[in-house]
Amino acid sequence: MVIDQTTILLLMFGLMLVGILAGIHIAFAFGFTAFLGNVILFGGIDGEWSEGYDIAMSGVGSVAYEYLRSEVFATIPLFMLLGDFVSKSGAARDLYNLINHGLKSIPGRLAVATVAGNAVFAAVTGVSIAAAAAFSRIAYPEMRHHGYNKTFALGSVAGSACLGMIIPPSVLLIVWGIIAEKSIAQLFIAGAIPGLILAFFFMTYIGVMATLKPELAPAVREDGPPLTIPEIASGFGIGGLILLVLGGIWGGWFTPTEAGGVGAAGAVILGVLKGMGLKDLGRAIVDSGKTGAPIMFLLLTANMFAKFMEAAGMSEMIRDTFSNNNMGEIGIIVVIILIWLLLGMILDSISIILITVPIFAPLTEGFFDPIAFGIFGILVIEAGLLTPPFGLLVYTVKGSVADKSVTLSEIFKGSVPYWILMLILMLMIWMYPEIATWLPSQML
Amino acid sequence: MGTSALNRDNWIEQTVGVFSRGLNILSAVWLGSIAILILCDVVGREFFQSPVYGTNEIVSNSVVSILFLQLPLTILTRSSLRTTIFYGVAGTRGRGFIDAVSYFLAGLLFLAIAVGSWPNMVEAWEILEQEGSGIITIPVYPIRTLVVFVSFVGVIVSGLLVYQSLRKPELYEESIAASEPNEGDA
Repeated sequence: MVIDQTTILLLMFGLMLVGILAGIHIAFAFGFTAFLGNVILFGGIDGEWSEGYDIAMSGVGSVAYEYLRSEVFATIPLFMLLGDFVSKSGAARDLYNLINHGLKSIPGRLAVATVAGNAVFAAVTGVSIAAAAAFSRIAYPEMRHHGYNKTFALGSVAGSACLGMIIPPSVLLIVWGIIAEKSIAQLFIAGAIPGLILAFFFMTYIGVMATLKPELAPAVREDGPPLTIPEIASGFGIGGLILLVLGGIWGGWFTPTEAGGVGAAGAVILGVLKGMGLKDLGRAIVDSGKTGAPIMFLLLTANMFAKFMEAAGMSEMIRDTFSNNNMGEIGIIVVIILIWLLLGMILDSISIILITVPIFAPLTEGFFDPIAFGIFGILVIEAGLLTPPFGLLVYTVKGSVADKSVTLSEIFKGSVPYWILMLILMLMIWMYPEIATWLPSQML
Repeated sequence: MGTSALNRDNWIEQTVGVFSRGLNILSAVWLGSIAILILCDVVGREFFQSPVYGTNEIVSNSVVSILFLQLPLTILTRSSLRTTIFYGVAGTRGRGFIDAVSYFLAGLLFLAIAVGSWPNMVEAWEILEQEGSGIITIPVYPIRTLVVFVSFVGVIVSGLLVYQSLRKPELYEESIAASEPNEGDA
């Protein structure tokens, strides 16, 4: 049988995608096609099948042990741990109440508080899905209670959950750093200004809409019950935690991994102050494993696949394809954006990064600053989570709100303005990468 | 026959469940200890000029163990990530079939990892392989052993799930979770 390595590469890539679409767990699809691909690549071309098996076996074996043996991978379980302590402590509600009280009588106050609270919470827990779930339960009923328009309220929850992913510390920034082999500390700093700009966009949108159409978000005069001391303490506790983690990295006192460790320890203190017992703390540690392990196993198997693609000559193939088609820089970026938005409809952000970044990052390195490209990419991928018909965040909000009359199309409709604002920021970073790169260049 | 088959399944499921949970707790304790170790190292270094030597080596070599110890429970509780566009509309039997294929591939993958890691593990025991330089070295042959051992456990857990998915798909449908569209919403 005559089969060349490009054919094997395309076959395996196709098989992997078909498997994932069919509902095979993503990590198993990665790992198995990598294994099979190596068997065919090293055994099928020259008919030495047993040699192919040996190479493929020792390939997966060595990745399993070697790949994760780096300090940088510890960031993932440690930040997951931090996030789980914070979410289980009930601090999200305190944070929301605290911000809400601080805002007084600005237009669309409850929605603005949702954006701010969600952004901080998503940033510190690192997972937008978790943030969307928490705020669907906390902020949405509050907004409805005060007569907010349903679609408007839902949009602010789903839209703002994306915001947290470019605000450091975020698991997506960590995964991007690992996959693209860029400094996580630099990405953490680079996300700050775009994150603030996006938060500003979102809040301005809410303020303008609430002023123009007060029926969307009636003014809330009363402040509700006065803040309790534990609420104030835990609101400031989260703020302190973020300052500690980011300040430590930015100030050069510790690495992102150490920040994860210190932050997790700080979150334990916050949890204890919020009344978490030993049992709750133990449960948080065990649960953080349940969210962290699938992500790390995905990273591991994605690396098996990446090694296979390298061995099958992926880099040369992609370079040839793009130079033969004469797409130009703009064409390449447009294709990349479309692929990300499409994938965002069916896959979670981390899987998208794992599949595409090893291909896209080298492709754009010549003309797009890699750090700015990271922030740009995360924005597009997160926007994909709001894109109909399968935007994952929208389904999460739907699954989490207690109000059963909420429909998916209401959530999609409410999220559209946020989606557009994210794409505007994406265009801004494309045209002025300094938005992302300026701060790291000043600090590191 | 029905009852005895069920009892036998329960016995196997329970054993695998307890064992996986045990490994998971071990992993959780390990992770918590790592966080404390890092805290001590950073505080010691920044405030008392005395870091905990070897922290970096211990942390680097712990990640593999932390992950692998969590894997059996991750698979058993069906927490691995997947997309549900087709899975969500496939019906009970269809979902059971997709799950069976998925866990069969998982079993093959774990078998490949276990067999592929075996020679290195044997060699590591022969030379009592150490990692690190200078003051602190970490023995890594236990970690290599752990990878092989847990991968074999992964084969068993995957096999159990293939069986469950084919025999009793209706019992294991809860995992589609919130991401599935509700009827009448589209």
